[in-house]
Amino acid sequence: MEFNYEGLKPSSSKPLIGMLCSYSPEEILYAAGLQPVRIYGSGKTIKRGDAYLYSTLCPYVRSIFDLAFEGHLNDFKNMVFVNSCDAMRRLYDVWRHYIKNDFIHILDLPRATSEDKLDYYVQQLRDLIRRLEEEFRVDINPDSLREAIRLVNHTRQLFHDLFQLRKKDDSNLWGSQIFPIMLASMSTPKESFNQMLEQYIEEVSRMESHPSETPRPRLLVSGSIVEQTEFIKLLEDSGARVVAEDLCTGIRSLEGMVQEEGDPVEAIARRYLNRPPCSRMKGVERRYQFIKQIIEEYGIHGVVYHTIKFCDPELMTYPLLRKELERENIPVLHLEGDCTMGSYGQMKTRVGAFIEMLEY
Amino acid sequence: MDIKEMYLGFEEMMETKAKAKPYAKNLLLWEAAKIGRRQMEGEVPLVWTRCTFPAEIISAFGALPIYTEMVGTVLSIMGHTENILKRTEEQFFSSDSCSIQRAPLGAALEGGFPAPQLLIGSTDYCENGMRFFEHLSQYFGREYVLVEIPFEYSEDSVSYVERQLKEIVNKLSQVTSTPFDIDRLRELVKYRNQTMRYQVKINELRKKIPTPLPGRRCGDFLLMVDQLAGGKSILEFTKRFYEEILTLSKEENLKKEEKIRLLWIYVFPFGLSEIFHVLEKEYCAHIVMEDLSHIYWDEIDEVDPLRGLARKMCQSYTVGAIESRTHQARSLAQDYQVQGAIHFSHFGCRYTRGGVRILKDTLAQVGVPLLSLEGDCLNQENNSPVQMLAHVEAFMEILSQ
Repeated sequence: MEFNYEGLKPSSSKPLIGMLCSYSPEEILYAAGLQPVRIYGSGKTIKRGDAYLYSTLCPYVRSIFDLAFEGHLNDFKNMVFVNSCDAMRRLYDVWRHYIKNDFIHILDLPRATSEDKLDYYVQQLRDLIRRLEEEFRVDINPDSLREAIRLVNHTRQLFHDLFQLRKKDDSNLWGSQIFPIMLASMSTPKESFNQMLEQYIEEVSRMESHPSETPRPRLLVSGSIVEQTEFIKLLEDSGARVVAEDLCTGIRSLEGMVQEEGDPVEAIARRYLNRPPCSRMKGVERRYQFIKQIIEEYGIHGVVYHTIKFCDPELMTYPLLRKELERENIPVLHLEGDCTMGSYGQMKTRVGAFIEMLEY
Repeated sequence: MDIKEMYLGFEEMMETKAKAKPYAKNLLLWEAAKIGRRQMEGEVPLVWTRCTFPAEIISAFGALPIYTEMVGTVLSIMGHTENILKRTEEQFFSSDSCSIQRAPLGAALEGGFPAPQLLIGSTDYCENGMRFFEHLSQYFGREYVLVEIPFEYSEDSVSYVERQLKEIVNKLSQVTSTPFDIDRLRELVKYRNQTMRYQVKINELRKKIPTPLPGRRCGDFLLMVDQLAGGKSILEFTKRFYEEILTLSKEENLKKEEKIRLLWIYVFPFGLSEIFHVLEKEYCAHIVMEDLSHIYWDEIDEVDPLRGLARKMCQSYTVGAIESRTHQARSLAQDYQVQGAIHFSHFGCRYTRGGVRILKDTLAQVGVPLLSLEGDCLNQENNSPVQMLAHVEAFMEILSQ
């Protein structure tokens, strides 16, 4: 069953605004009449970017800068950054110095979730709204925000429905089918995306399972960002089935709804601060609770922890998560990538050995 | 490695050194060693934190701060970093992670440190630093509080940090069973302000051509001031250091052979003394200022010390966009009339390394070339001394022309 990517209509009239982090509040960008697009790296070797950002900095960030520097992101006159980590802050710096855009904003994001931090974050969101209103001469009001909240929530609800199907033992859904749909959800207009996803869910719900197929171990992929479906395919080609992704480009960023009642800005702030956290947030316990929940609900046999090189938050979190997973007797394999497919050959051997030792 | 024995050995070493040459720097190191011993004795409440968090708040409760940076310094002086770093890798820490954070973390996880009462991190530095406290919190089973510094400086930002400091004060009061005494804090802040005034005066003397105390000796002292427990003793050592430099700055004592004046950006590495020797002896190139020694904050409000300390944290040039660093580097380069700048690009530091190109371009605008000296502050396995020296020599040749 194929997702209808052809049906995704690009928005011709709306100005594009690039986003680089799953903590970018899409609702506000939609309410401003913009088309938010999550930007992914090229997956290719970096050319000129390394002259501006050190080679020991996050390869995702360097890849994005390289694309911009080479002129491949010229359609993005507007960018919203999030103060998510050291590498992202430095990308914000070089972007302003060497790329130049019409509109650039960096959104400060707290790391903890207390009421005081929430108030601070609400203020940051209001500042973003004010800047967008000034720049694009629009009125972002409670009604337009609620409409945008409903739109983005609908996407989350549809994914929630789809994920219920993935949880089933006899699910025929492959990770390598679902993963590109998640990638598309962050980079295409939600209006047409939601229609296509509804159709897809209807069709896959009608599909019958094939109990005769050889059982495969069910994997959770955890980490920061994975941009290439080829990585998921590598795991599945090696004999596993990827059923969940605790990634910035996976389930983690799609969990949690924005409350549709009450003050919309505060509701947006609550959702983003309380959604399953990435490793830049304070409190590894929250992250582990989410992973544990996935392991139970999705019947996970093993975890592939994927980090991108020089990603300090993930690399420093790994020893803690590993310890917790070992305590629960969940096998874990750590793979490190550089946002290209260059190391996939080496990974394949390790993945094969890992899958072989899994009990399922 | 027995951490208590290491600290005793450190104290013995520093005592011998200070008694043989009672310079302010040696006395300060001896003081640091004595504080280290007290930390190990475990009789005083301890708080693990980092050097950007104000010691005055912790000391006001009669507790001792353990600064991660200071632990790293002791480990390095006592020659334990290489083995500890290797052992952290066996515990699944990445060799790509910052050695400045990983070495003290590894030492703490090996046991021997008394359990602290509280852990305080802050967002004004790096990602590794924040994760450091997550690990210690799990290991010691103690609470970890994170002070979040807003990206942009404003009065609202100061209020936001002030509220967080008040929460920390409440927690410290609970864990040390000591009521908060604002007058005690005011007294400590007063000492800090007096110390700061001497630091400013020292930095003023360093502007002299030729500089009165060349090389990294000034920087080493000034960087340590914020890694100790604060208070009257630090004030006295700083005053003594100022007087030493004042004597050196007298016309008859100045070393006249200064040919090149350098600004040093970011940390000094351990174990690469040859580079500093070559700079000074072969090229008469003097490090006359470091960005880390610069006093970037206003005098701390002694009447309202928590707000004053919150303001100090918000004013840090490590917070926010790169302009905080570039403006400072540019004005230091001009004020100290340097011919060149060396940025020590520490292997595991994303926060500083990611800004080198912009710093380079900014300093070029005022005619100051910048060398990015790539290496590792603690982990000698990441260093190539011969290659690093060759880069420094090539840079000196350019500056000499």
